[in-house]
Amino acid sequence: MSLEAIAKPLRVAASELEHLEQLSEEELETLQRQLASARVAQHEHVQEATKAAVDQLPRLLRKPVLKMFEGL
Amino acid sequence: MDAKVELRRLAELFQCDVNELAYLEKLGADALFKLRVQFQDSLITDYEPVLAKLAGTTAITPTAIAVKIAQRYLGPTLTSYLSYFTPVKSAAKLAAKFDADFMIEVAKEQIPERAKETLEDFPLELMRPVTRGLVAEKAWATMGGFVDYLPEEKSFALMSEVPDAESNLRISSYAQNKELVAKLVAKFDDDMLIELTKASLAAPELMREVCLVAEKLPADVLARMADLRDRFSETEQAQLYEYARVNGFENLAALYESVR
Repeated sequence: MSLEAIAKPLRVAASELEHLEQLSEEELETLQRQLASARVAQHEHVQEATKAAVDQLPRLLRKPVLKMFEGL
Repeated sequence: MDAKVELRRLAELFQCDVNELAYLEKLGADALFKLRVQFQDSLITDYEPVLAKLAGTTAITPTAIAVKIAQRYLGPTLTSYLSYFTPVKSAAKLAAKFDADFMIEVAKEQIPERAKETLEDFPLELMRPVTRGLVAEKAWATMGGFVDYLPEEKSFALMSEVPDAESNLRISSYAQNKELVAKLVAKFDDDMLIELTKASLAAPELMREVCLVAEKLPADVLARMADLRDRFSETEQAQLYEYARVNGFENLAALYESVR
């Protein structure tokens, strides 16, 4: 496990992770797992919010609005 | 900065127990702060293309309609995310028109580092019900984060909305700005100072907060606390002294040293 693997989910370059250099391989793995799990939870949270928002719209409007929200 | 505060904030973000992050403590507060901000920013980066487009639409929508859309359709999560792409003046204008209940939910979703300017512009009178709501919901992490970025005069004005000692300590445990917390504590009356210390005796995980804040208290407040010593039993004083001594908190150790 390298800093590169942490850089990806953090959307930064590995060179911006000097502050994590003290972590062992095993600790980096744990951190990567925790980051991934937190990211999934946050995405689900946003997706639920988006679905709740769109569900309140009249049926005809849902498709074009969903298109606006594409990527969330 | 305090590493333990950053660990608590990270644990909130990761939705895990703070003990699961103990391996990160050695990195120190600055590194943990940087990690948290990088992770928060990455979440926003993911949604940037969509949110920037949506925020552009909001900018040309009359305030009353934008408020209605946010409250009725978008909900607090999307509104919170959108606020990061809305000019501060417009975001503050919208926020000022939201219902207090809705604003409480939006506040809970906010990233304090990103909300700094909105906090400066947000009217104090509207902050009061939001503060009360956050206290009622025990949203300590949100409130602690805000303490770090709230203008000092607003913090003083909002003090009365956090009526009990334990809530104050819980909020403080998520705030880095202990100088400000100490300034707030300095304004407490004697009863509240006693209550604060008693709360830490009842919930030992809060004793560290009392010690940290005591390190920043001015001499006159420490002298007041010294005068209040006899309101605590010898056992309580010994407990406070031991904790402060072992953990290197000089002010509190000196205060209760007489029971040694």
